[in-house]
Amino acid sequence: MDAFLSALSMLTSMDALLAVVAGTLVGIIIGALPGLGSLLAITMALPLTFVLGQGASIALLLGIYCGSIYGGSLSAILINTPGTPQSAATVLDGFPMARRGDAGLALGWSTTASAFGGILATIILAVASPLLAKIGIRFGPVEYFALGLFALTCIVTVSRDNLVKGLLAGLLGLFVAVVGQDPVTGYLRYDFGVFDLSAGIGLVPFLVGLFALSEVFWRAAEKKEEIGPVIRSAFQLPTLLDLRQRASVLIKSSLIGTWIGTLPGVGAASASMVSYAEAKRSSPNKDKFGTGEPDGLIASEAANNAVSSGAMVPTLSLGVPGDPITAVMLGALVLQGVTPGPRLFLENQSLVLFIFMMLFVANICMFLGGMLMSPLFSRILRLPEPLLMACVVALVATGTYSINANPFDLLVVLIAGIAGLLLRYNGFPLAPMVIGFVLSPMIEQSLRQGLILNQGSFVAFAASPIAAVLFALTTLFLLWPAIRLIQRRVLQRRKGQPSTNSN
Amino acid sequence: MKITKLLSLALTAALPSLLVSPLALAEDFPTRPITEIVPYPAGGSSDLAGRALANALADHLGVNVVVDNRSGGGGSVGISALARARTDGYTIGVAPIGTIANQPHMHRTPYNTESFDYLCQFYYGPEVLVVKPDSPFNTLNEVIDYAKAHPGKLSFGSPGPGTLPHLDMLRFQQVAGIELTHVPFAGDGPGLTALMGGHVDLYMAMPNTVTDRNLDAVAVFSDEPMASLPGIKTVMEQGHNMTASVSGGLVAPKGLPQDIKQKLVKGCEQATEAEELKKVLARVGFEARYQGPDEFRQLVEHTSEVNGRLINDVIKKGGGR
Repeated sequence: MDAFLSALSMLTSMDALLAVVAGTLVGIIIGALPGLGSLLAITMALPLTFVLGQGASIALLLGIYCGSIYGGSLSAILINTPGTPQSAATVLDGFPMARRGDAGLALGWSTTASAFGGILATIILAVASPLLAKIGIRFGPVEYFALGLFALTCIVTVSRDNLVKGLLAGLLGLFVAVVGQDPVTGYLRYDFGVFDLSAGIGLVPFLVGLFALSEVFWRAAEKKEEIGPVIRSAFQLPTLLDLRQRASVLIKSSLIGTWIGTLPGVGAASASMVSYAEAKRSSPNKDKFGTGEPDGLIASEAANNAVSSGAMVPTLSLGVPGDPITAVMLGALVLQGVTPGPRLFLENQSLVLFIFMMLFVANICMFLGGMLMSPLFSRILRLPEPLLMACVVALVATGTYSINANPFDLLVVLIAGIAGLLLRYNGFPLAPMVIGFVLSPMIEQSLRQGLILNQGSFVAFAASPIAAVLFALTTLFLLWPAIRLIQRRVLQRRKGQPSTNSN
Repeated sequence: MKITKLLSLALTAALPSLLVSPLALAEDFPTRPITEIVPYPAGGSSDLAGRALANALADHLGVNVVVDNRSGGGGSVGISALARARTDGYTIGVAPIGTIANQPHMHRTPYNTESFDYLCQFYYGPEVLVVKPDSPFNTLNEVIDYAKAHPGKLSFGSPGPGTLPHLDMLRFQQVAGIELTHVPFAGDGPGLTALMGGHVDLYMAMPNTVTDRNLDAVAVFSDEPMASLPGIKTVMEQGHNMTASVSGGLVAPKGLPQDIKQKLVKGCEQATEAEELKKVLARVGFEARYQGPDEFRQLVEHTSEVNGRLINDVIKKGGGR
């Protein structure tokens, strides 16, 4: 109780509250700008923490963290470019919604889902974090491999128009991520003697080029399309009825995000993919996924925001950051004299409580900030298209360059942009390529680690109960259409009808 | 207009990246901010060490020292950017010894140990062999006896192929005459988690993992036992002749004017004395330990020679496990 009260007094101090509000708003803006991700936002704020107090520093960073992950969805929906890699799955249904004229509603859903995911995750964590941390470390290479494989199945779901082309794009994505140092032997692969390629192809330049730049090229190449009133509605919260109908997706996606967040090293980008795959498997509206279905948007956004709370669990309780962003958070905490690890929960309970409360507050700020700011962002679409496209090019170029100050990254953006245009032109979906690219390192490294640990035996992979369940889910998911088909045939035969159904 | 406001906001956010200033040669060095390249992402132990040094340096040199994180390729991306930088003293970099000594042997890099002017070593930390939770091993010799009886059965994790902990474990296997299975991870974060989950048996880590994460250690690879690790014997005390440590220092592209180099060396020496630097280093598992330019260069060259041989003889022949 003492810990609770002292946490509360830290929370209600003026500078902490100011810091969390400012952090969230700045986070939303930075997250929404393509190329400038959560990582950049947090690193930019890092020097500020040297002068702020402990509480205010943590509040500022948590605000930026939550805000930036949400902010990524704004540009995903409005300009078909994930502002942050975590929103890669948001594009799939968010942009079709906006194109249909439902941009306001799409923003409403993403804001609601983000805040809900974040808040639910925070509550769960406040209650169960030490326990969750213990489950998290049971994930070894074999389990990570199974998880990656399951997430990969969402390639099938996003390439509805042409499965073969989708699979090819997915393979291409898996392959592009192979460039660079071999994670096990350290040999260089496909570097063609170019030094910059030896570090591999960066996620941000790749993503930004593939989506944003190719969109610009595409629009420039397109013949004049009717422009018309692009958005009628500015910002529209979903109705309560809608909310109730989609509550199950909302809750499930938040839980998936929370859980994946607690697994060290998986990260929000993969979490939203897994959640999207699962929603696609189980949603009653699954046939409409990829065409602007709110469920798809909810799955991605609720999950990636739930991760931000979830990822604090291994970070705080084990001292093991879940992704590069929490790694920076960990560093910032260390600078504040807080050493995360198993002892933190015993020795500094009030601080742990404070962090959870702050996450809660940050999510509420994010909801209000989102309502306040997304109308502003949705006006972007009213800019004349050439102007908007020029701004996009300038923004993504400066954004990408600012991360590593490496001109090579700009070359990657350009090449990925041209590749994206060619793929679109030939009817290849871009999403599977990103899915493959994001998951490739995790799948490859965990597969090879697993094989090393099991003396090259695949059989041992199924011996892990967690992995076995995930493998079963993957198989079920891939075979599901076939099972349905057989089921239908059997039913028809029982009814004695000839199978003339043209469906 | 809301749109113009938005655009100006966007520009303000992007502005810091445009503020790379050229200009001005040194007579009263330094007259403008110094860029310190850290070849690892913000937040890691190298970054924290680098930032603490930057602060301490700024106090002594009287100008800002700005940290520039350029990560990728096991640190080789940032270090090669440093090697290409101007030799005016306004671009310096933190060089973890593994990046500068090992990476050129692992793959083609646009730099080698000859590409730099060495300013100082400022951090050091002995490696510690930790075991997984509930491991049956309490001493180094128990590990060795088991490994001798069951070659290849025990596994050890490393933060990646060709990293210092990996190479030091290869060296340890040669010293002890045992055979272990190597499982590389993408950095200490995932690697230590795997150890804590019991997925690998051994891990070469920094001393603070024992104190902060409650891990059990069987040996410390320092010359003397460590006060912060009571009851943990050195490798030497347990009968094997080996030490291993992680360290790093400050370097600049080769060809620095002599007087500028002297100022930076002096600054680094004084910065290493700063209480704040010592405190931050201790938190991430290092200690502040100053070595002059020549000692640091010799250490890098020696490491490069020893590890280059290991890399060519063991890793490149497929025996890196």
